[in-house]
Amino acid sequence: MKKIELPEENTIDSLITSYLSGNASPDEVSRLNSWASESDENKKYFRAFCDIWHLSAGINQVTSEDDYSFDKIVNKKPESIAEGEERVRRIKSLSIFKYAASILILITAGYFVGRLTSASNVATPDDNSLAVIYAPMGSKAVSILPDGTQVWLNAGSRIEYNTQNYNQSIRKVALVGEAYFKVKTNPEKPFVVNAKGINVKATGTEFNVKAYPEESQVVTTLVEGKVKIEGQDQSKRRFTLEMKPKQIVTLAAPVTSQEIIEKRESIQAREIVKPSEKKLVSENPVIVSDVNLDKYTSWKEREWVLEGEDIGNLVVMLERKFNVKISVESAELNKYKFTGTFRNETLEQVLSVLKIATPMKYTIGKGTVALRIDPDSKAKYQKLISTE
Amino acid sequence: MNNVEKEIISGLSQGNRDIFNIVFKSFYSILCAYARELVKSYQTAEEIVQDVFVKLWENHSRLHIETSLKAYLYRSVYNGCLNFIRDTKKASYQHVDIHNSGYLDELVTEEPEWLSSPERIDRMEDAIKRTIHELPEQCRQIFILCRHDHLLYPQIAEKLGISLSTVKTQMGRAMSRLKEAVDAIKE
Repeated sequence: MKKIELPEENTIDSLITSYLSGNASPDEVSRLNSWASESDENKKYFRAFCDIWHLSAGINQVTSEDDYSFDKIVNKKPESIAEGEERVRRIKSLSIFKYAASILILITAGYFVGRLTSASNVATPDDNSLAVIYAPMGSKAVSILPDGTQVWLNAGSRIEYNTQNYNQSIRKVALVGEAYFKVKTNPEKPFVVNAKGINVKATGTEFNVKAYPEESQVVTTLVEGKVKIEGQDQSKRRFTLEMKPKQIVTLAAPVTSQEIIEKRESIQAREIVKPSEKKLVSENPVIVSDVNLDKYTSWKEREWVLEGEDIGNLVVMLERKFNVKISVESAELNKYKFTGTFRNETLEQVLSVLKIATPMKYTIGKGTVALRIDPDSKAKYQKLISTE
Repeated sequence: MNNVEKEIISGLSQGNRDIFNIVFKSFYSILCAYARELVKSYQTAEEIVQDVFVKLWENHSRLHIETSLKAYLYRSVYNGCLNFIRDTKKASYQHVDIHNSGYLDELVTEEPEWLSSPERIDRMEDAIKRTIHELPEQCRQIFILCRHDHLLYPQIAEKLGISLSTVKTQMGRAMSRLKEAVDAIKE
């Protein structure tokens, strides 16, 4: 290549870069075109820039689109656009419900999937030893850990683990919030979830752990397999509990001073219904067997199930899922229970469905929702009950 | 190919929907950004990438990957782009190449040598990522605004309050450094 002294903005490197980025003027394009066709060496040089330009697409990518899910693509039917044109598949416009708008990805160096920088929701500080996967309020996340264990994170939750020693002798993760684990079977290396001072241990199984900082308990639901819980009861005695599938164990875990978030009046300490099935192992943990698993784990599916939820729980769920603030302005609503199955509905749709069975009025503001008793439908409601 | 990758590929070939979702979410944007460079339109890029995933799903039982999942996906997307380009050439009239860029366009869509080498892909991506990270502050800002936010030079100049020629120069420098880093990869 002839060595020409050019002002730096006119070097071949700048010219090629302008072209690849769509910034070259017609004149520059012509010049570059002639240069590239001059020799094989020039052509190779140009190609090298192309390769780099193309692969630099893979760095720092975060999916900012909402709702990109494989299911949406595979289920849509081809639409014809106009006569004579080919049918093209398009993604329909998406609802507010965000499933993993926060995309995850994994892990340690040498991983096959594109690694994201701290702009995404896997943060690996320079020493590369701590990995954090999180789902912000209003969305969920799903990921695979280095050993093949799958984890689903509910809104406002995160897990952390040490990349150096995960899967050495044990597989340990720390959880804040709610997660569902599908643990890859490995009897030699137990999988341990640490949440609010309690350890949930499994070797190969599916279970759900809920440990939000603003709540004063840890709720573990076992779907299948075996799980051991280790913790301290209220008198500081250590205990171990073995769970069976379809059981839920609720342990009191005090809200630490660092984690106290403004407690709303409508959040009530949860009590498990069905007292006839209560089986107390110690004064602290509450175990219920044979539960409806969907009620506790459906949050990770696109379908989520409400069954006899009181307004307090409902509000908490909706706030996390849609990232809004909800205020309950009629204490009377506390008397009602909410039941329903939802898929991709928007918040407004969910509320209008709930409105059918309960006398409730709602007003949606900017990022806030207010719920009130509806006196008119309440009257109708009561009439209905009294005539039964 | 490490064990976890084998797991994931195995999950795909068994039609595990959860794993499909994860793979999709992991690669979708990256592949669209790549396809866009070849077909010049983000919408077309999305359609091509979606097609790749749908076909992957429909034929999952016949999935056979020897290189790496990433290389496989890049290859599928590349082929999809080539097909699109070929089909649109057939469909449209011979257009007058006013910009005289026909040769360059062909070069851009020529099959890259990294396409068949998963190690090469990983090493190049590493080198690129590291080098971008090490670029001088303003240079890196400009590069990111251009490459990832898709701002044009004049928009970058305005946004950062600098001259157009600075943007051109810095972009050229960034790419020169990237080329140096890639050239330095020991195979």
